[in-house]
Amino acid sequence: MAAQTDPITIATTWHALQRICREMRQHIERTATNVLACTLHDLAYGIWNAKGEAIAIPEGFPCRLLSSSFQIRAVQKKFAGKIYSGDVFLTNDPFQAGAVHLPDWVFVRPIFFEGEIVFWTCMGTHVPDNGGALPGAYFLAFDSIAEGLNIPPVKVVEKGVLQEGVLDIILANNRLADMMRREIRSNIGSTTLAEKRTVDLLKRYGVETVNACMDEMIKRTEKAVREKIAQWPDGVYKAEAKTDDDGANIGVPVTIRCTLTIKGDEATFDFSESDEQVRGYANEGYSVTMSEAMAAAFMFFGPELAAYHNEGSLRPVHIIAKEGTVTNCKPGALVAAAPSLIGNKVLECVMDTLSQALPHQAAACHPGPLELMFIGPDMRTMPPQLYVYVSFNPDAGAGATYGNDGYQIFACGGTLGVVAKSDAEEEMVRFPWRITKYEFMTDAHGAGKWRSAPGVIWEGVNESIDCSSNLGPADGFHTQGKGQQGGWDSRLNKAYIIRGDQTIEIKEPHIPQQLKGGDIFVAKAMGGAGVGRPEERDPEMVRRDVKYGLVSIEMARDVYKVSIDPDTLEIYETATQKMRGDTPETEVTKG
Amino acid sequence: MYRVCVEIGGTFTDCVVSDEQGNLRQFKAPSTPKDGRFEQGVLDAMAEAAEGYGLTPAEFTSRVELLVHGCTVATNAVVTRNLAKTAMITTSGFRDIIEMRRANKIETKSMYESCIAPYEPIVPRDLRFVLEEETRYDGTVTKPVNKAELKIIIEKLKREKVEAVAICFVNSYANAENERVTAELCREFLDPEIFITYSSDILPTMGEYERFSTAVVSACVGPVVAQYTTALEQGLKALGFTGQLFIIQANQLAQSVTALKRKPVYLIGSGPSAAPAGGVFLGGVIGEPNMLGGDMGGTTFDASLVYNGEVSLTSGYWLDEERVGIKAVDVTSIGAGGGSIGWVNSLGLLQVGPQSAGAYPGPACYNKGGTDPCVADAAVVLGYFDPNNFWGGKMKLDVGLAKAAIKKIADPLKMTVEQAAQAMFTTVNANMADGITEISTKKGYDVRDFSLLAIGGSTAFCAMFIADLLNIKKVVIPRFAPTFSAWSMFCLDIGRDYVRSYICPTSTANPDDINRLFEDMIGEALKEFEVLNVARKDLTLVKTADLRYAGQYHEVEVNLHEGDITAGDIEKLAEEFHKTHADLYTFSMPWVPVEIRNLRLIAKSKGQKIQVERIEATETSDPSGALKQKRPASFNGNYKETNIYDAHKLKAGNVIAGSAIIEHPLTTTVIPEGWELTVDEYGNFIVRRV
Repeated sequence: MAAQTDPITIATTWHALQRICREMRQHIERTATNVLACTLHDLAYGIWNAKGEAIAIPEGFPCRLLSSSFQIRAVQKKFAGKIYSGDVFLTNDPFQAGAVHLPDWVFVRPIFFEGEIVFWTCMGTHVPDNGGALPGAYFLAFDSIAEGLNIPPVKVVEKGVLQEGVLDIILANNRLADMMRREIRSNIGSTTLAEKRTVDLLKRYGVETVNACMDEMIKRTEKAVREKIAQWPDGVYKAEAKTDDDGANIGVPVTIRCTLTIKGDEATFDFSESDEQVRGYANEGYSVTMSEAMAAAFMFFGPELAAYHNEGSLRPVHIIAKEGTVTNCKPGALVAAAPSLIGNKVLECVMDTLSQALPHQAAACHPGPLELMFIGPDMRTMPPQLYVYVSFNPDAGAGATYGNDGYQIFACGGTLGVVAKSDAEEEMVRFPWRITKYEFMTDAHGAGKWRSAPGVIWEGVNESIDCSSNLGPADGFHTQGKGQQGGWDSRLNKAYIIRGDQTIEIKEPHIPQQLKGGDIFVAKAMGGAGVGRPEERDPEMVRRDVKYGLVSIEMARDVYKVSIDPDTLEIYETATQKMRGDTPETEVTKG
Repeated sequence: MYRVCVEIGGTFTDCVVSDEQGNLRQFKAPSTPKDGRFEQGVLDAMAEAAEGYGLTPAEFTSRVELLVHGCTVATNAVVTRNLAKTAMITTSGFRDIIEMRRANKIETKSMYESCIAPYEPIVPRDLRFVLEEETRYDGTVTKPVNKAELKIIIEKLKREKVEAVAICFVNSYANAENERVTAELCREFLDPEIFITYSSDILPTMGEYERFSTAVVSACVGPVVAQYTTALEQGLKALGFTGQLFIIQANQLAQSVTALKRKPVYLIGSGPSAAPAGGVFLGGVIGEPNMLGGDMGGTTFDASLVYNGEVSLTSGYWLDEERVGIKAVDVTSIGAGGGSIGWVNSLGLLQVGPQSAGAYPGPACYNKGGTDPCVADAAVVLGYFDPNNFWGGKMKLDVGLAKAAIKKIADPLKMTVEQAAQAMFTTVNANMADGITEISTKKGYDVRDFSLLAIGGSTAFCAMFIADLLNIKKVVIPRFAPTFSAWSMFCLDIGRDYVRSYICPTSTANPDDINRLFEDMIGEALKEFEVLNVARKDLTLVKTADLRYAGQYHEVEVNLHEGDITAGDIEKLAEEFHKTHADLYTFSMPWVPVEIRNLRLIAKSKGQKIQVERIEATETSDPSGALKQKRPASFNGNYKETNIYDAHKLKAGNVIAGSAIIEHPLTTTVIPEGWELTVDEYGNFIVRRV
């Protein structure tokens, strides 16, 4: 055994599995026609061993990465004894298979070598339509059946043969069946690629060596994570975060509560005090809570471990959520907004508790999500075709971290910025919308010694006929994300419809809107939260922000306490000192 | 008369000279990066050559009929941010496209990295000026340029004393009119020294971020490139140079200085881009159409690919944090070289690189103060390098210091120093093998169908070990491996690539429209060739189209033939696309409509190729005439007495079975057990697995 797990073979196997995951992502980006897969990176993928333990956890949506283990284990259990080489399974079931929500289709493939299963892999993504009562996933349904087609684990490919009958039933319930036929090829193709590459690896080293390496990888990651946690200060830290509402009970926020206990080399995140599960769509299953919480914790384990997480990372970390709460809902609950509403708040709670424990790594909240979904007929095609236009372009950049302003090449905090945006030019060709504004705003950020990335304004004109607008995933119109160490909270998002000379404010984004042809839609994502008190920000940085048009002279004066000459942009030293007084810098002592 | 190739590298500027008989000689001088005065290194290297031929620099230079030049001037300027003060004029409402960068964080950073400094765009926000104008997605101009507003912006540009301007308008790929008008007005009212470019001139394809970014990168290196080429031309002229000067572009084609100045972004990546073309040329001579190029230097390993005698190109890449959308030789660079440092991470895994000890202090064995264990230290401990006769005897290596450095990783790994040296060596080879896998598998190729072309000074001592890891059966080590990039410049064609956006399903594509766009590109090419007196009949045209299934977001490039395109060709194009898609991505969808997105053209004129000279041959395969000595070297973990041969004394036809080592002043070749090396008629080493 010792010879089989020599340091070089372990390193080579480890890096090869990481590379295979990268290739899977490149594959789906290059072949998919669904913007969520190829641009937004809304992907569930990775590599698991025969036992269903996660071996390679790549870059992707935090809600989907570790939660995919649940789909793999569900397939293992349901099809025990009936799993063959060349099989592919599909599921989107949040309750039987721990999927995130119904629009997330996950294709699961066992990888055989010399007659035995050695690996499991999957590729899944959020599909643009999944049947249900209305197009688009983020709507308030009558019940779980109306929320969309429920697909328990089912074999869609047996021994390499596509099960057309099964697919026919699924696609007969889909509004974009043609597109989904392509997407299915693309998703399955990624798992085929993973099979090809892992089999190459097995041919080189043999099953025993590769299995021994995988065990060793898990052991080493666990050890490294334990060492990391052991350096954290023991203690109990509490946090809570609110979403605007549950989509049904408008005006009533839903609260997630988390208690972090660090003891020795183990950490426990307990979400049991969160609100009871709700009537609306803001519930999520345990698999998603676990996956989100772990991903947020990975951020604090440091970049050197980032690419090396696996099942071993889970062993010293415990994620607890009481059944019947919004963080561990019972079967039948509505879960459409699981990732964007509840998942995002789970992530914020973990960031908040760890920012308290580790102030020199503090990370303030990201801005509330502001993602667009327009659904209607495209009159440029004959006959007019239904389009589902999903865009993350209005989303603002990251919240501040200790020592740095928020990173601006970043969208969708709930995904830790995995999302990439589309080119506006591409969107204008694909959808009947003319984009007229898409840039940073002045005075739209959470202030702080380190401020958030600037907020973004997006304006578009509906060039087709009536369509519906669904801001179901949007949040932060009424509730704010927390700043750290005296940094300001995130700012409230806004959206408007301009119809002729009338401006209509969308006060409740979770109530769908009907738009008319010629309407202008305006989205203002106002920026995330800051770290440290704004009056401690380096005046030179404030002056630079003024010069760049990100901060007004007034905000510089009133919030940052820096007096700047509006013509020369020079700092009035005396006036600035007077406003700032002699308050000593906030001391950061913990950690 | 002489023909000369000069390549500026990180440490040395290499110069290869061909005399009238085609005999080649190689020379070197230190590179001179200080204050960006790289031209001095070029003149110094040519002075070295002059001395070699017993001439004064002026005598030599005036006899040079052709000078081909590769340089890192532009790449360096971007990486070190030593750039011209650059402004942007962009569509009102879209001021921050280059700063938001499509939120593509995970292209250059991990999603788990949160404590990172914000990105600093090349053009700061206060120099991004917005102008009222609108072009629709279908090319209709709905708001022409507001000239009064533009004049105010031009005044601001003057006040800010900007040195370069990039004009970047939304939807300009569909109609360049507004950008062109703006550029003309800028040229009219701004000082002629100021470099002006517009995005649809550089990259007329859909996608505002990549197009704007490419235009900005081109603008900010424009003045740098102009300054450098002017200084170089003046320096050469002062020495009486009257020959032709060509510069290598990122796309492995050479170009005149005049043409290059218009699109300076093409200079980025110049230098490393030449070697694969050399591989194609050499492959033609020795009958190797498929090769994977591996070039190991002091800090990086560059992998490139030649398939069917064609260099693999990519249509866009990241240079540090900047996106460049032009065609470039597809090179995967990884942090693995002779100076790469071995370390043990928090998972107990041995890592080699990406950090490097560089040239200074260098590996511990150099005895210049370095204490980190480097790959070169491992090579000394393994007996691959001769400590008393390194670099042709110019440098003594200290084995004791190498061992002391390696002990730092041997202890935590619970290994002996020799085992740790072996582990480091295998790890760096595995990293390089991974880099090669990355470049070949992403193109859908199986590495086993290729030979490994080992070039650069350091690759030959690792090449067969890398080949073992990849199951590659043949390695080619060219005679001029150490200066292969410079040598390759003798093999380059002259020209450029062009692109036009043409968005249309293959089912309704019109051959007339397609031919008109190709003619437009050919016209542009002929204009650039004017200074060289190249007529249309002398041009080689390579036509391709970017295709995708309707709805996809990325394209696959498919070849067309050189002549006029017919309806039948378009049909064939779609069939070819289905096939390529299946090869690349494991599946095709013949029932889905196929869309053309872009038309591309490479227009080139054949460069004058050199004759590859033959070396002295021998009747016998016995290499014992070149045997210098024996010394212990490690193979498969065991030290054994190994034959050491002198490269200069080997003759064509000699065969050496592994294990053995061949020493050349500039490179060391290590032949492991199970491999057999043959010296071919041109002095190349052809190494086969037996």
